[in-house]
Amino acid sequence: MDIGTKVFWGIVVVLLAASIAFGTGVELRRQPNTTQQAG
Amino acid sequence: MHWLLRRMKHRVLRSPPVMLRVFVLSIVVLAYGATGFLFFEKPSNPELEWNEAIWYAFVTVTTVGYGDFSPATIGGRYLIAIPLMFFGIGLLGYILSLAASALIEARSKEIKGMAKINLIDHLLICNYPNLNTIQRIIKELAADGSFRDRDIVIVDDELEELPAPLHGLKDPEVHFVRGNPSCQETLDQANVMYARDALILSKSEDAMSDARNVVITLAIEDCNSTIRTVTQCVDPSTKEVLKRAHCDGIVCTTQFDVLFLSQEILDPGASSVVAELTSNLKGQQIYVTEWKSQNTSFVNVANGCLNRGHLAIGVRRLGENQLNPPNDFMVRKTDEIITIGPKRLYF
Repeated sequence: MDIGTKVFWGIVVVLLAASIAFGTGVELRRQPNTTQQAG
Repeated sequence: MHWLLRRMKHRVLRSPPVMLRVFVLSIVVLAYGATGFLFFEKPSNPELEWNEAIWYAFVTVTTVGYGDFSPATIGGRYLIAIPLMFFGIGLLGYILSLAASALIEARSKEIKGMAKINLIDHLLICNYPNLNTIQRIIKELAADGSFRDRDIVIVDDELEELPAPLHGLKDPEVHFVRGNPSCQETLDQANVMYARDALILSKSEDAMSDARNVVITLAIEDCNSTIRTVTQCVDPSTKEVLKRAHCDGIVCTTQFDVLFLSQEILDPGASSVVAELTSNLKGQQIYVTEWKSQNTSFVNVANGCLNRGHLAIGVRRLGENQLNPPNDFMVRKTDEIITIGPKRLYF
């Protein structure tokens, strides 16, 4: 695997991981509010 | 199957194709922008939803920047918006450059004769003697209405690229295939199977041009027996060999030179009459038209032609000419009528 491909997959993995982390954060923050409203 | 999938997976991972790279990168950048924007901005703006975050990411990456949603937090601005802008510029520039280079490459391949021809009913011109000859042939063909909507493909192995005056011609369009016209691969590239006619020209500087043309005729007729081949030869004795190679039309131009010169001595002006009759560009032309009608006498056919502004001068039967036949000469359904007129006649 050449260096360009390694950099490409590296960027993809980092961005994907960040997206998952942000998405999870957003959903985790939303859940306590919905539980309180339901209660 | 499993082995194939593994191999494909391995290849895609090791060297992903350019389009796949662009696609994957666009998706992850959009995902990063949308999720990050929502993560940082939602606490200060609880009304924000996923679709608005995705919209913001799209608008920013494409550098449109409507401004209907914008980050107000430090994280949203510096960790999301700025990287998104830089990625957007880079990605957009990269996609545009890819599209531009693909277009340029395709055009360059076409001009250098490396592109595959996908035409039908086209005319193959094998061998490129010189630009003047080709231009005159194209001009003559374009002047006849029956050649409308047909394209020309030049096949030659010495020409490096299609000359500039032949670029971008319309009606007929001229294409080029570089390669030996007697080679199967070259003929396939020129889509010989779907060509209607082939014109095989002689190169004056090539001493072996007749032998070459016989081989080209054989190769073309072998690929497509329904194609109409017209071959130019220098030596009249080659005619017999070309006939055996199933050539449909043989033109020995050196024979014409002698005939024109001697005729001009005996009947001054005769050569200009013949030149006018054989040129589509001015005056009246000779047309050979299939009769396709009932058997009738030549005088009836001649009168019919006269009513349509044509002068019938003879009949062509089984490849032989019957010029100025007697009035009671019977014209058969399979004959062709030789006429002189201002434009093509259809019986």
